[in-house]
This record gives sequence, C-alpha cells and structure tokens, in this order.
Amino acid sequence: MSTIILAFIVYLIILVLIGIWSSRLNKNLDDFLIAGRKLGTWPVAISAEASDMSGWLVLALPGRAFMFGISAIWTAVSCALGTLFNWSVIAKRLRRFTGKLRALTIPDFLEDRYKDDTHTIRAVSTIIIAVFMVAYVSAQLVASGKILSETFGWGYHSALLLGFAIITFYTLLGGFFAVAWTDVFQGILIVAIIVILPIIGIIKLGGLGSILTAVGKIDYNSISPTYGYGGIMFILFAFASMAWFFGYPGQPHVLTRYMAIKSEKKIWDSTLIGMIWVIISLWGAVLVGIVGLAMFKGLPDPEKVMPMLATSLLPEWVAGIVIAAIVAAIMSTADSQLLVATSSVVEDVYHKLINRKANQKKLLNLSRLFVLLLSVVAFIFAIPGESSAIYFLVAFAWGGLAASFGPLIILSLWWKRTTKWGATAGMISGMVTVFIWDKSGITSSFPDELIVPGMLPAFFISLLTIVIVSLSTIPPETKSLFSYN
Amino acid sequence: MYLKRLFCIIICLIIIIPILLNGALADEKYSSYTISSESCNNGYRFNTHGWIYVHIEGDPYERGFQHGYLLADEIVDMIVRWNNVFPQKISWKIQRMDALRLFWHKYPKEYKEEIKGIADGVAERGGNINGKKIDYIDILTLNEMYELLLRFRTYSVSPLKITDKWWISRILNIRDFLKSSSEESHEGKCSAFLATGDFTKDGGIIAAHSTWGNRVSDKYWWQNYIAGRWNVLLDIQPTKGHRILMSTSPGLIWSDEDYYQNDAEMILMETTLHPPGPWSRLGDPIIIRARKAIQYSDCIDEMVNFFLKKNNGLMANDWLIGDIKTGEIASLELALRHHSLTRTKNGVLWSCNNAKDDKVRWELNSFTGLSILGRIWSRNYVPSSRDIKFEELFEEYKGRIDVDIAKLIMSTKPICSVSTDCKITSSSLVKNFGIWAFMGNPDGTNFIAAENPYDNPKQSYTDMPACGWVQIFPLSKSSIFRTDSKSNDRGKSGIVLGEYVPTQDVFGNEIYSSPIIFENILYTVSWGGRLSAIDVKNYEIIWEQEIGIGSSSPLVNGDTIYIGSNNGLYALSVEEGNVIWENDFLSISTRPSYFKNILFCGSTDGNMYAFNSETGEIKWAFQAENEIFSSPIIKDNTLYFGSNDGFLYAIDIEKKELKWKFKTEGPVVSSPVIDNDKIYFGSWDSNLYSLNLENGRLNWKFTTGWGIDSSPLSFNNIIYVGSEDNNFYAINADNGKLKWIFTTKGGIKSSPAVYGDLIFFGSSDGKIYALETSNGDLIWSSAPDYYIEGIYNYRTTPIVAPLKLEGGKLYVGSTNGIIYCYDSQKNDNFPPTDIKIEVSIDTWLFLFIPFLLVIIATGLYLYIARRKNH
Repeated sequence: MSTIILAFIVYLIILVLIGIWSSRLNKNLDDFLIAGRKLGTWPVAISAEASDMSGWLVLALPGRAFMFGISAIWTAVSCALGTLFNWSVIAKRLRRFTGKLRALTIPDFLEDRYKDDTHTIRAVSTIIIAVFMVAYVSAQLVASGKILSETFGWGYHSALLLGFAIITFYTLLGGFFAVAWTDVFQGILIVAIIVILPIIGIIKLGGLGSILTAVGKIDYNSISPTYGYGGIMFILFAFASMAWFFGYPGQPHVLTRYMAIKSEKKIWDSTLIGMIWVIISLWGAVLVGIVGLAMFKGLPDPEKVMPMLATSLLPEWVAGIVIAAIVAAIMSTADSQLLVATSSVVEDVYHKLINRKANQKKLLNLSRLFVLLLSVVAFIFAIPGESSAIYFLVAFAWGGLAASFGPLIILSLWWKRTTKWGATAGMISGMVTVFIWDKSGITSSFPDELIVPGMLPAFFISLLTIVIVSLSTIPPETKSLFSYN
Repeated sequence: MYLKRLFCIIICLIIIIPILLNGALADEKYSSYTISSESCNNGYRFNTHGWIYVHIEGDPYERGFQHGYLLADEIVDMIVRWNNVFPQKISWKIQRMDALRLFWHKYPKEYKEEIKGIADGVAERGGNINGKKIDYIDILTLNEMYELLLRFRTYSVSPLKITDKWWISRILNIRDFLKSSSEESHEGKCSAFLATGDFTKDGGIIAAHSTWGNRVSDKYWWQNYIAGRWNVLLDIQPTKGHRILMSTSPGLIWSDEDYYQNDAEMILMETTLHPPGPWSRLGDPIIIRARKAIQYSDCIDEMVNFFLKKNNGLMANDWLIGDIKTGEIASLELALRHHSLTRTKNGVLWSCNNAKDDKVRWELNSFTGLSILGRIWSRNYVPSSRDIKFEELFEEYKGRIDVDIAKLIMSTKPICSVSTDCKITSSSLVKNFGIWAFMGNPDGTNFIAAENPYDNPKQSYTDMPACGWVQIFPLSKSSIFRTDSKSNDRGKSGIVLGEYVPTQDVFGNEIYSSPIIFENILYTVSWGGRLSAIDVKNYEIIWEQEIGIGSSSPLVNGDTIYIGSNNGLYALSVEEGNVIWENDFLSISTRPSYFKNILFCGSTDGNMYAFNSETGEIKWAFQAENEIFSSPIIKDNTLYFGSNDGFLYAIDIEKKELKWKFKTEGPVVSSPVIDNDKIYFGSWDSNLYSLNLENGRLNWKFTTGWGIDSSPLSFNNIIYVGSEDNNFYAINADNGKLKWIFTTKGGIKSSPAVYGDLIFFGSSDGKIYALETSNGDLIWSSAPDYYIEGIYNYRTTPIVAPLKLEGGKLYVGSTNGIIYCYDSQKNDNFPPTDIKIEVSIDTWLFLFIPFLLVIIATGLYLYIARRKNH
C-alpha cells in the first residue's frame, strides 16, 4: 500500500478517536446540539471558519485563481470582510439573544424573538434549513467521493461510503463537541497545508516574480488586478466577485457556532483567531491557484489544481496529508450541516411542536437516530454522483440560505421594529428571488467571471421586503431582549 | 456498553475495508497525477491522422452517453449536413417521423438504451437542432438515414400489404430516379477483399476495405460532403458480448463505413449491392442485424445466421466475413429472398457492389431491371473494371499478400477511384486488436472542394486531404486522460527556408521516415519506395532509385546506403544510387543497424535478421512472436529491439542468444533509446518504460493516455516523448515523474529533436511545434499543409516522420511527400528571448495591499470593541 494512503488513514484514525473521546461529553440535547454553550475560544473560532469554508476553499477558490489569476483576490477580500462582519455584527448579539431565549437553533431563536404563536416562522425556516442542509450534506459527500476516487483510484461508491461512514460515526457519537473538535483538528491541517503548498511551489518555480511572469505569458489578464476589465465591465466584475460578502450572515451551520461559545467575552479572542485563520487560508488558496497556473498552464478541471499541485510537488506521504486536508475541508462543513439539519428536525419539530415534555435522554437518542437517518438520506442522494437530482437544489443552496436568513438575522438582532410577518415575507422573497434569478438565465450569456449571483439582488430584495412589511405590521414586545443584563 | 463497542468496531471495519480493498488496486492502476477526462467516465477520444478514435464502454445507456458526450459537436454537425443535403425534399421532421414509425419498434432494448444514451450525452453538452435539444429520435434517424433514403428507391413488399404505397414513393422521387438511371453504373459504395491461405505471405487472413464517396459529377456533391464526417474509429467495449472496433460516423451504433472487427478475432466488411431490391417491413433493419452479428458472433455460421434471421432486404449487401481463428473467409450475398454463401480457407474473396450470384442479381433487378426507364444493370454477372483489376492484382501478388501489398492494391485505380478511406487488418494485427487506417484517398490524392463546385450550402464543405497510413492498437484498459488545454494556439509561425521535393509518383509519396543528411546531401524515402538524394544547397535531385513499397529509414555507412522495404534489403552506392547487392527473400520493416560488418534488420515475419553487410547473406536470425517495426539499437555487444508481441528483447550478438526480455501489455513499435545504463522505450500499452540495461529490470514506467509509437529522446536527464493521446511529455529520467505536458490536436508519432533550448516534434494535427525544453512553453509552430482547425475539419497532413536537425536547421518530412526545412531558432515575429512580460507595480501592490487592509480592519475592530467595553 502506498504512503499516500497510509497518511490518509492516519488522518481518519485521528478523526475517529476525537469522535470517541468527545462522546462522553454529551449528557443532554443542549450538549449534543450546541455543546451546552460551553465551548472555548479556539474550537469556536476555528470550527466556525472551517464549517464555513468547506470544499469551496480548497477546490473552488484555487480554481478561480487558476482561471482568473490574481483578480481572485477580490473574492478573497469579500470573504474575509464577510467573516469579519459576522464576528463583529452578528456573533455577540446572537450569543446574547439566544442565551437569553434559551434557543438551541435558528428557528428556535426566530420564533422566540418574534413571539410567534402560530409557528409560521418556525415552519418556514425549518423547511428551508432541513431541505437545503440535507442537500448540502449530500453534495459534500459527492465532492469527497470524487476527490477520493480520483486521487486514490478507488471506485466512486466505496469512496463515498467511506466519507459517509466517517462523518456519521463521529457526529453520531460526539455531537457538537466532536464536530467542533474535529473541526479544530481539520482547520489546523487545512491552514498548514494551504500555507506550505504555495511556498514550496514558489520556491520550486524560482520566486513569486517568475511565477507572475509565467502566468502573464499564459494570459496577460491574469496578472491584472481587474482581469483586464475597465469601466462598467469592471464594476460588474467587482460585483460578481464581491457578492460573497452578502452570503455570510445567513449560514445556519456557521451561526450555531456563535451560539455555542462559553461566554460573550470570549468572542473577541475567537474573532482574532478566526480572522487570522480565514485571511491566511484565503490568500493561501489564491496563491495555490496562481502557482498551479504557472505550473500546469491548462487543466480540464481547474478546480483540481490543489490536489494536482500536491501530487506533483510533494513527496507521496505529504501529498496524502494534502488530500486529507482537502477531504477535511469538505467533511468539516458536512458534519456541521448534518447537525444543523438534525437540530431542525428534532428540536424544532419534535421537541417544540410534537412532544414538549420529552425528556433529555429521549431527545438525545432521537437526535442520534436522526443524524443517522439524515446522513443515510444524504448518502442515497449522493449515490448517482453529479447527475443526482439534489444538484438542482445545491445549485442555489448557498445563495438561497444567504438571501433567506442573512437580512433577517441582521435585522432580528439590530432592529427592534422587525415583525414576524416581515420576517416570514423576507425569508420567502429572498428564496424566490434567488431561484428566479438563477433559473431565468438573466446572466447566462455573460462570461463566467461576470455572472452576478442571484444572492446579491435577493439579499437586498429580502432586506427591503422585511422593512416594508415590518413597518406596516405591529411589532412584538422586545424590551427585555434588547436591554443589557 | 457492549453494544456501543460492537457498533464502534463495525463502523471501523466499514472505514478500513474499502481502503484496504481499494488501496491494493490503486497502486497498480495509477502512479500519481491522474486526471479523468471531462465526465465521460470510462470513455475517451483522441484524434489521429484525420480519424477520431473513440473508446466507449459499459452498459448500453452508459456507453451511449459517453459516445454522445464525446462526439456531441460532430453529431450535431452530421445532422445539419444531412439536413443541408435534403433541405426541401424531405425535412428532418418527416425523416424523424418515418424512422420512429418504421424502425424504432424493431430495436432490442440494448440498442434502444444505447441510442437514448447517445442523445442524452449530446443534450448534456447543449447539442440542439433549431433550438430543440437532441433526442433519441434524432439519433435513431441518423442511424437509419441510409435505409430511409433507400426506401424511396425500392419497393416495400409485405405479406399483408402487397403494394404498400410504393407508387407514392416513386412519384415523390421520380426526378431523382430518372436522373440516376442513366448514370447508375458509375455509382459505387465500397471496395473490399479478403485473402487467406496460399494467397497471403504468412498464410493468415488479410482484410482490406475502402469506402467510396462520389466525386464523379456535381450531382453527387453531397456524398463527399457527408463523407467529410466518415472518420470515426469507434471502439465499443460492451458489458455483454464482444468488444468491437468499427469505422463509422458520429452518433452511429453500427458501421456505415462497413468495417468491423471484434475481440473474438472476427472480421466483418460489406459492400452494398446495386440496384436495391425489394424490402419487407417485417424484417429487422440492417443496423440491428449487423451490430448483433459483430457483437455476439464467434464464428462465420453464427454471423451468417444473424444476417439471415429477420432480414428486411432494404439494403442488399455482399458481406465479407473472416475468422482469424480458423483462417476461413466467406462472402454472403444477401437480397431479401435469395442469398448465396461462398466459403474458403484458401483463396481470395472480393467485393465491389457487383453481385456475382445469379439469383441474387435477378431478385435485385426484378423490379428496377424491368423498368421501362431503361436501366443498364445486367441480369447476369459481368465483371466491372474493378472486378477485373482485383483479379489481375490477385494473380500478380498471389502468395505475397501482406499488409503492404494490401495497401498497394487498395491504392490502385480503379479500385481506389473515389475512395474516402481505407481500413486494413491481418491475422497478426488482430491478435492485438490492431488496424491500419487511412483517411482520405489511399492513393494520396487530395480532394479539393473548390474544384468540385455546387450550388448547395457551403458550410463545412471542405477539402479532404490524404492523411497517411496509421497503425493503431486500442487500449485494453481504461485511459489516464490528461490535457493541457490552454497551450495550443499560442506562439509564432516558423520560417520555412526551403522545400525539397522528390519526384512525385502516382501514389505512395508519403514520407514516414526521417530524412538523412550526409555530406550536404539529403536522402529521403517515400512510402512507395523511391529513395531520393537531393543536394541540400541547390535543392536539385542528384539521383533516385526505386526499392519497393513499405520502405523504412535508410542507414548510411561509409559510401553505402542500406535500406529495407517490402521487397527486401538493399545496399546502394552513395554516389549514384546503383544497387551493390540486394536480398529479396523477405520484407524489411525497420531501419538497419550496423555492427562489425553485420546489419541487423527486423521483418514483418517476426524475425530479427543479421545480414553480412558485404554480401547481403543472412548469417543468423532471432525469432520473435509477432511483427517487428521497432528499429534495433546496439550497445556493448547487445542488440535491443521491440516487437508487436509486446516484448523488448536484448540479444547477445556474440552468443547469438537472448540475454533478457521484458514484457509489456501492448505492441512495442517504438525504437528504444539508450542513455548510460538505462534503456527507454514506449509501448502501445500506453507506458513509457525505463529499464536497467544490464538485466532488463524496471526502473520506472510512466503512463500516458494511449499508445506510444515513437522513439523517446533523452536529453539533460529528461525524457521527451510524444504519445498517441495527443500529448507531448517531458519526464524526469531519474524517477519517471512528469515535468510538463503539451497538448496538440492529434496523435504524436514523430520522434522529437532538440537544439539549444528548444525541442521540436511533429503532430498528426499537421503542425510542427518548437517548445522550450525547460517548461514546455510554445515558441513557434507551423503547419506546412493542412492542419486541424476546428470541428469542421479533422483532416490534416500529418507530420509523422522523425525530425532531423542539422546545423540549426530542422528538416521535416511530411505525408504530402515534401521535406520542409525550417530555421529552428527564428520565427516570423521576434526571437523568443524578446517575449517579456512586465509584472507591473499594480500587480505587486494588489497582491499585498488588500491583505494588509483586511488585517488592519480586523485589528481596528478588535481595538475599538475592547476599548468600548472597558
């Protein structure tokens, strides 16, 4: 057996050990779903970022840099600022509010925040979360299956089974503790690799200067900060690249991280750690793409640039670790999403709507059952690979979530006047706009780099809808929530 | 607690088992650096010598999808072409309706699935006709096109409906019918022959087939237009039945170019009989019968049964069937009601659209022959000019027919008058599932579109140059697909300093071997066997000598030139080219190697011969298991060469015995090269091998996407090699790791040459490339003749011959028969050193300033937030 696989196995064993170790920390549903709100600085910081970044960081962003050169930095900037926005504007208040309301999940929080007896908000938000999160998990499984099968030459299905088994195993045992601590381990792995890989590449190819020269020879636009666009085209290009910023406040699997921290005051330390992690890995990913471009010049699938760079630059066992880091990035997101989907079913539907008196042990077991059940569902959807029907959902899942929850979360935390009807209308309008924008083919004739994702218009339409509807309905009583202490 | 532990163990097992299982497999299959081609799963395609080779495999739908996905653009263009041919007369819409109505229900589930897969594959890539996505009816119609056209020219007879509205079709088609009747005798579809036993050199089977377009008059302009797409070599590996290699057009599940072979060593060819006879709607279309026959038959009887069972007679054919296993060949002339079967294990069978059996002829002519419109078809067999030529040539070459002679026969007029291609195989080729193919007319004439004007839509009506002979062997495993998509069209054009033109012959002008320059004289040999000595300075021909077809590269030693051909081995004087001695007992297929008064040459009979260089006597021979095309190389009293039996041999010259041999999984055509204590060579199993010279142990192997036919080049510890997978590779000689890759639009058969910082090679896409040795950047490229531009033209003038560098000049032999001389260092714009990219200060600032800004923003926020809190 080759060393590349051995290195990978070591990584998997560590994940399994973390799962087993953290299983003893779970005593009730609070523990399982948000680690009893007693997570420390480091796990919150890194886990929030690792859950957020997913395979996008290690596959899509280097791919973008591979295609569009240094202008991919625009995307990196928007992501870094989005993260900063989350930490500075959302995190603290969300932790405080959810603590006060004893909310375990985002639907929980929204219902309590708006004192919604009709359960409309809960129903709408739960449906959106459950459907998209399962679809998302499934997509992550497909991605991990593909990476494993292509790198190691395994069958797609056995690779898929492997990814599924591991994620399910430690999520099942350890719940949020396991997810958070595996995220820490995986997050450190990712950042280490994403820093080391471009450095080795830069040294091997004779410095950053010669890399930029080589890249410029291949495509002069790729060393232009604006990808050669000027005037109105540049504005479009900047919009398309910066749209990611608006995706940040609306991701439930990231938001739950902020709810889990031990105390509000820890958030600053977490912010520092989290931001450093994000900035380093974003720029690292862009450099990976650029080094890859200088090295390969052209690839059938630019998103494979990182694994390709690893296998051609590094000794086998290190390449194994890089593959592990890529899979880590995918898994760290999938596990968090799996947990969020589970919580939306167990806590939001069963506990709050069906059986309010259920005891903790029952809920805990039910959660475990649903982790298993939902991951099996995700696995089944992942079996056909990329032809799977769920890709229809995933295509606009990120934007959909961002537009449905982003403006809503911001306003729920910062604008007392928001009402439940405004909230409901906002969620639905955001979702619908994304769907219409992406399916109508408004931008289909544009080149890739100029396509403005539906998330951007949807975010503002949703924001506007909430404000208008809220102003024309009666606000709930929120004095105690918004007051300090 | 126990349950929990048990659960843990089970999960651990689930995790570990697939790793162990797959890990073991993974090592063998891939080394590292694997890219799968764009979602075509196990299917892949490569261009070579004007052909598109497509490999598909798996279940019917799956392999169909691969087919559609890989050939999406070509399939759409094929439908567009058929539409342009019949714009008003029969619209595609009506053809679709008829195809669905008449034929769809006849298709078995397997082929229905395959057709649906093709349609979905095309649709996946956005393929559409008039804005409507391609669906299975489009693909069905494409497959049934020939039968759909024929239905207007013949009667449908059904036990239930005797007339079956035949008169309607007649009236619809009366104009065409009137016109065609007087010229029918010119019309042909194909020429083909099978030879076996005493007729062939090795007693095995030789099979050859050429499809005919028609360039006789304007009326048939479209046949050439459609023929522009008859360039697919489809390799189907189905889950059930035999693996098939066929020559066809895009989107077809059968061979409309009438050539098939399968891995049960069966060969199936066809020429269509004229005029078409009556047909029955109760029978199955030819597509289903032919495809089933090749997919599910192991012997001639089974194949014949497939054709006779549920025969619909719509296309009457002469099927030529060969069984390599038994050496038996057969000809099945098949109309609707009558058929005749001729079989032999010792003889020749040929076919050129002219039925020989009286009953079959009578049936075909029973309706049309009686026509008052004056058909000139005879009821009795009268040999056509092609029949007469075939008989003449078989008489002449009896006992000598091999692949070379088959090429000669198929490029003789009138057999090749309007051929658009040629496919040849033999008993020894079929052992490796191999085939020789020629795109364009095998006699080497180019079809020039401008000389054949017509009034119809001109889109994609292009020249069809002769693309030269190519030998291919499909892979027996899945390919590791790589491509470097960006690099192709950059760089400048090269500068042609001069052209050396040997006397052009009737056929066989193609140059496949490297020119030699010796004391300012350039020696070059054409495939047809003309060795020319040309003055390098004033381009004048000094002398020429005929040495027979299939000649290989010459060797100059002292004042003698040694060269082999299908006729034997020759020693010629350098001065005047007169024959000093000749040995005409056997055919020579490699460049000779000289060692201590001995000449070593490989032969198609599988022997490596040692000749006395003074007299031409054979001193001794070493027998390999299959043909030898790999030129031998000598170091330290040892002779190294490869053979189509898959081995690389090391022979001790003094002991005249085998020192060691190394097995690969495919034919070794590539000539080995030696650097220090290592030997490098390529194999058709897609690998480049590095072996230890002493003991033949493997140092490393590098896997490319398809076979390596050419000889590698070792320079500065890097091995450069071109592969039929259309890529050129630079590989680290120490560890076999890839340094860089360069993708062309065609398979690479030409061995590279290096000069200064540049490496040169030719590709079958028609271009010569000059790359930087250090990183594979394109410095210049040049196409001396036709080259692949886009999907409308895969036809090229391939550069196959190894390149020759002499004094900074690059000599390139082309399949058009001319040797081009390039300035290796200069190109038409500016020298490579001038290509400089200024990395502007903006770029540097942009790399760092946003980075700093984000960090400052974070710091600032934290600073303010903390202060506010305190």
